Amino acid sequence: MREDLKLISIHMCDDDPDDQLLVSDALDEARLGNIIDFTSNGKELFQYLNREGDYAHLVDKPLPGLILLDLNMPVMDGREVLSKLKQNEKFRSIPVIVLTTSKAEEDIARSYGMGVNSFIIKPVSFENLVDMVRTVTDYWFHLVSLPKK
Amino acid sequence: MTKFYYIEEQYRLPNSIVIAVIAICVVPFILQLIGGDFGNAVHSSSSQLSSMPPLTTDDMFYRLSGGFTHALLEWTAFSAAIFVVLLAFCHYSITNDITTPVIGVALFCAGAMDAFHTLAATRLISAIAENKDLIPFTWALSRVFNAIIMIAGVGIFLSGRTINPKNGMKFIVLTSLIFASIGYLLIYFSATSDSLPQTQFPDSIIRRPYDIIPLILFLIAGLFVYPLFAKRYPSIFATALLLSALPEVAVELHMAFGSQRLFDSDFNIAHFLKIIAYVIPLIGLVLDYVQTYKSQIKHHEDLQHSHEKLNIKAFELDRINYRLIQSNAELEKFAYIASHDLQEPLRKIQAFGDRLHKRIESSADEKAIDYIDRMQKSSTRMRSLIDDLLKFSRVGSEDYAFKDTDLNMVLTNVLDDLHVSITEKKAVINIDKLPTILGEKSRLYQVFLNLLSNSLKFAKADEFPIITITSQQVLVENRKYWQIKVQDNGIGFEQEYADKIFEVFQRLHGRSQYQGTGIGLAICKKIVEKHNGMIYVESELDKGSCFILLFEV
Repeated sequence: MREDLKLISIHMCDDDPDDQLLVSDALDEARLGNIIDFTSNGKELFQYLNREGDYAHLVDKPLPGLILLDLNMPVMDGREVLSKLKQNEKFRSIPVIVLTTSKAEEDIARSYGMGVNSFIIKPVSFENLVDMVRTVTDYWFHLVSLPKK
Repeated sequence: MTKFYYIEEQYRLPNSIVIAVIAICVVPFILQLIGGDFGNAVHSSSSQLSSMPPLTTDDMFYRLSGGFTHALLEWTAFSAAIFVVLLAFCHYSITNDITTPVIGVALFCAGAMDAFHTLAATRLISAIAENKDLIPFTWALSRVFNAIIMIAGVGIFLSGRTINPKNGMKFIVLTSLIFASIGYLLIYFSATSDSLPQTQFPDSIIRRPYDIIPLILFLIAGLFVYPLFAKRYPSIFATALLLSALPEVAVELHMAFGSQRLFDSDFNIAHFLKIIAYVIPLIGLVLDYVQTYKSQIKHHEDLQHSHEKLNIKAFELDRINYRLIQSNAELEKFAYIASHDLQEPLRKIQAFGDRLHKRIESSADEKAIDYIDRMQKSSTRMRSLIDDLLKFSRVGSEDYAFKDTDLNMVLTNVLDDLHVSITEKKAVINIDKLPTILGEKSRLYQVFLNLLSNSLKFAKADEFPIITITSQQVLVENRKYWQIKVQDNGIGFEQEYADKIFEVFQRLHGRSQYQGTGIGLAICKKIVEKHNGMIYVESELDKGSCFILLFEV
């Protein structure tokens, strides 16, 4: 069982390298063995998911089991990513969690409207971040049943 | 004396008119002295006529030339009188000045008497008395009447009594009726008497002694009555009236001392000058119109000018106001964005601070741990400052949806949420029946939450807090307001800080003593102001504070 879980990888799409580092650290801190990889904008995310360009070598690897998505990013922002993801046959069953600093009601409502699975405001302290990572993985990888690919 | 005859510039007649009038009065006399004759030829008496051949129409006209001249001169004078009275009433309708129509009517009555005299002279009306007596008598009568009625008409206004403008028309009608009745009675008497007194004495020095009376009267009028009137009721018309005394006197001089018979030179000059005497008031009225019109145009232009100036001012104010609103909105937006963006790096400082703290915890370097602790505390504090600033700028920049809000409900919510701290501090809270005001519930909740939290926070250590909330209607600058007072028995402060405490991040106590950033009252003030209300405080150190809120009814 545990071995199975380790196969589920997490993908984080966020332009902030600090946040990438903090989430990665939090995963370690929570002693979760999940692999996490990163892209820093929507365009890269789609290259990654489609295994194109720099990500062509990943062609045999399975798709991530969870996407953590920032909203405010250059080139292609989280809102655009969301609408594209949810229109895509192949990717729309991947759970997407918006992880952002925005507290704007408008962003929250719009994100859920576009089919996001959770909307989480980036925790301020590292401890809270660890808690968040633990809860999210526990929920998505233990509690709920997801379709087998 | 000179002061008595002084006429202010705006009421003067043009010099040219004054000079012309004087010239017209004097020149005929001078011309007469150097041999000029303005009289009509004398024709033989009627007794001789019978022996002469029948008269042609031309002959008849030649013989009657004196009568025609007389009739024309008299009628011209009468016409002038008609115009005077008409213009006088127009003048009244514009200015509401009752002196003009009353004097106008007096002048018209005098003119009507002249007309009667003319009609008698031309035999168009017949009377019982003989014509040889009737004509000179009616002349004398009309002259005396003219002088008396003018003095009477002007004199009414010198009695010192002022007439209520509301009764103006009544007064005018009444005086007109009196004048007309007197005139009519005189005419009636002249026309029905069978013997009239002799008025002509060709052989004496004063050939027409009856003209001495109007002469004296016109002298009195010109020297005392008219000047006094012009002083009391200054107008161009009054000045003209004064000037008209000059030809009137000249008329009487020619008649009393000059004229020997009908239609002679002095007789014609006198009749001509009488026209002038009527025309001068007419000119006065016309000039009055011109002046009124001109001053109105000027007034209108001035008004327009000041109106334009006002418009420009209003426009400038609008623009400044717009700019102010814009810069205010920009400032609030700036505060929001700035504080929002400041949060991001701060979050990292805190997060990595946590990481660093964790790693260093196990080491024995206590100093390093202390430094990191202080950094962490500072960043926590900065975080709350930024949070508060963000809240404050939101309070200012966001739109409010005003609805009827029951403050009793608001206070109930506040007390519910403060329940723990109220119980803890054993606070007693008394609340009056509060009004319903137009406002936004959540914001008003914030105001009372902040005020009550403050009262609980700044309670005296050795006394249970007592908070009393009362309300009443008050008038401020003629506007009705609900006045809500939040009174506590806390530590209070010196009144000199009353304004300071409403400023952002202003605190009167050390942070170690009382927690908080000092944003609460600033938010209260902003919210109350957004409700078009006011908030201020009355406080005394160690006695407690009373926050007073005003909301429009």
